Amino acid sequence: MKSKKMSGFLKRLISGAMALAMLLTLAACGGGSDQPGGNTGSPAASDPVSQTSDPAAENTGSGDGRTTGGDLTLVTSMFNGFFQPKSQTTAMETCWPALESLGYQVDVNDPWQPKLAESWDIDYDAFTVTLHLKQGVSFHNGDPFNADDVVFTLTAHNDYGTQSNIGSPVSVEKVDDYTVVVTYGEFSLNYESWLLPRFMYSKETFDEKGEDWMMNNIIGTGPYKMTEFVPDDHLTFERFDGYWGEPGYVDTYTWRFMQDPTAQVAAFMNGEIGRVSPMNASPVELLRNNGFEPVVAPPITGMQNYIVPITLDPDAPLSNQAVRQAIYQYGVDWDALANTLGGDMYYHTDAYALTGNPYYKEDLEFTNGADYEKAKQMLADAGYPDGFKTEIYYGTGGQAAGSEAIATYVQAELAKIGVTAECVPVDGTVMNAEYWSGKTAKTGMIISGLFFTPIQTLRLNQSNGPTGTQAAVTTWSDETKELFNKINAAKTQEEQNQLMHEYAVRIVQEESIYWPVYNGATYEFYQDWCHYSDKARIGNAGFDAHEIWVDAH
Amino acid sequence: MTRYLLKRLGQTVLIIILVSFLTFLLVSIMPRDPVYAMYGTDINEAQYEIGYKELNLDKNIIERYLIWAKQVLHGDFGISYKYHTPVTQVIGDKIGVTLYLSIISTLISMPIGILLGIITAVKRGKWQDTVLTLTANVTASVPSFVIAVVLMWVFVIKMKLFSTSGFTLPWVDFGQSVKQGFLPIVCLSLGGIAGTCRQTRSSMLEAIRQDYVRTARSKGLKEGFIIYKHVMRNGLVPIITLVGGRLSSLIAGSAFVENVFGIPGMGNLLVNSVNNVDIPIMQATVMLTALVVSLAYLVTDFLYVVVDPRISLK
Repeated sequence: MKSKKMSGFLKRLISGAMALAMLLTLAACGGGSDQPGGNTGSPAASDPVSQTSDPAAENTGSGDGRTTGGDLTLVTSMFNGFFQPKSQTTAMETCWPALESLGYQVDVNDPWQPKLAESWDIDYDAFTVTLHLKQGVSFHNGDPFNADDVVFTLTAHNDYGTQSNIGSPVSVEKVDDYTVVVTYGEFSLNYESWLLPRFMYSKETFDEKGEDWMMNNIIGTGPYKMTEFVPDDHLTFERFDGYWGEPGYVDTYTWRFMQDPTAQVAAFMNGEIGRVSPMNASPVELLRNNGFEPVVAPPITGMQNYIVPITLDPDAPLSNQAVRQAIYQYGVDWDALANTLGGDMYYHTDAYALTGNPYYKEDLEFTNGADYEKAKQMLADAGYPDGFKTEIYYGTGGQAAGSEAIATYVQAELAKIGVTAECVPVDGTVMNAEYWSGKTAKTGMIISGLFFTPIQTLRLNQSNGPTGTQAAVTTWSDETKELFNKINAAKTQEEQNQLMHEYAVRIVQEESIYWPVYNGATYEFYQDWCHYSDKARIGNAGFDAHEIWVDAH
Repeated sequence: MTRYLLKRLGQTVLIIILVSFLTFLLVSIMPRDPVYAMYGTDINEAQYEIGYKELNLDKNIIERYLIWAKQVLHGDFGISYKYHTPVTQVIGDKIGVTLYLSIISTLISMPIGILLGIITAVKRGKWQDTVLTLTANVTASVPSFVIAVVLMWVFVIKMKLFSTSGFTLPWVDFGQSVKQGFLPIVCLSLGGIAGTCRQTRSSMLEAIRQDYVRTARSKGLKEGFIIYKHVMRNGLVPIITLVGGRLSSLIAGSAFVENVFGIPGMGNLLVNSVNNVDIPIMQATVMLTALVVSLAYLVTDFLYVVVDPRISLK
């Protein structure tokens, strides 16, 4: 009897072990990610020559070897409407094959090139820009492109509350069918940056179909026309035969909607999509481990995460400059934070905005890392020997999605110098509308992130200026306010760059009312059959369809 | 019977009203500003005021609820903030996808789960029982999105057999449909198989112990006949509750799997509506879910009566 029981027990044990072994085998099938040669599906294993260690070098074509034809599938995590005056981000990311702007700029230091505007005259004394439009251009539905469309598009920014994107012009007027005059209320060096990158939309179509239709359909003048859009699934473009210029190389572009980063990476590794640009370190690591090497986009395409003190209370600890310096300059190990959260994708800089900005100089990097004892001493000297309590607000969703990790890290660092911080999540829309605009009476620090092109940097400054609030009114000194006004009044780009540099020194080093947490480099992975030239990238999100081509695959 | 039916339908209507009000209340107290969600954050104060009034935020919550309920009764669930199309159209586009996935996975998981459950019960204590029960327990414990990621890694990245995402109906393109739908359906079915297997096993074991089974055996009837004729018929009654449970999760039960495999279905829609503060979609989806759950349990009750004559509806 005992032997029978024992036998039954052994049987169960063996069968249990078998079940466990089956499960472990299944799990082990996915365990080869850290062995580049072990994955037969990876390009490194299947074709060691096809994946270069520097895809950028291979992809920087000069025109030779470009082939016409083929389909290119790309990936996006958002479709929030295609009508740029109302929803600008999605339009930039996904609509560039079909929509065209008035002009474009490949690099921030390059001159603006004509597109739908053949030329333009700027009168800095009268604050006007006269746009001379290209003739003979048609929208995908056959409607001719003319001044009415430009006036409509630019005015629509005002209707949808996005007028600051185009510098809030005083008026936009049609002179004749192919001439438009835009008048501003004050001098600025940024008229071109405000106006030229705007995508143009058909007034006639908008009048006929309405706003909701425009948000879900694309009628542009570009080399590709939209053929299908299934929300949350895919968006497809095919070559537009009636295009006014040279046709694009690729036959069709398809964007597939995938919110999950793992799914995006899996689709890329499966060869389903031509390009992927992960936003954090682990997928990058995964791709590298499977034989793919990233192309690191120019710093100007990257993003800066930053932390800013807010308070409307002049007696709050954060209103004290010495306290802010103690915390930001010595109280947190920012390099370790960047490395922990992003590996080599993230790097800390003491510079305001991106290291690729025209006003960036080495002297903006001034700290030598964390010094907790010094921070504690500075807090004691400022009247807070036992530290104080505060809150760290972090946004949820959108570009602020990674802020929670920063908040938690900073919270732990501040504890080392006696500052007790509570991390508080805030909805992204409320963060932008309430916290950034200085409407909230909360006191603490907020974390956010932005893709800082020079124009966005200036725009941020304008919307968050001394009357409005980044860091709130109480923390802005008179000198900073004066400097801020000078930036917008600068008469030459060199002068503006110099003032921006001074401004960066002041708000970070001297007053610490803004603190860069880390900059994220943009890592892009391309299939070996997907090519682009060094002129392909437009701004920080769009591409030129005439500079991309694919091999048969 | 008719009286019972009317009573239950009345209860269902009451539940829908309560759920709709609670959803309305909860959405109203969310720390999110619907004006910014609808019009963007770059609006000035005058524009904010217009939006505030357009969304009836200047009225108290009861007034707002009544206005919304009146529109709903006229079939108007509003316009989606994100999709800029009527809510009914957005839901109409997506519900078919989720229903397809849920129905196929239920049709797969129920018979397989029942079959495996019967095997484990009949072979109780033997190796088949141990292996299947252990596997079912482990599978039921692992969240579906974890299974989804593992399946994707093995069958998509390593073996390159299927697509990572998307959805195509079989009558549109059968090959593409299999390529895109196989893994999500497997993923959704595994949990169902495991749950059904466990429930069937315990119900069958309960029935096997009954006196009438012992009597049947003592009469010398064949074991297969006893299992089929006496054990299964009685043991499978509680399985109907599982069918009800599966029906109740038709709408939102596949949210994680839809998210991982990029399937444009109802689960994904619900999650996105929360992320995008798309209040009209959120309210309509929750109401629809409540309606389906209520009806599913109503159907379950009726099925009980059909399969078990001892139960009557009074």
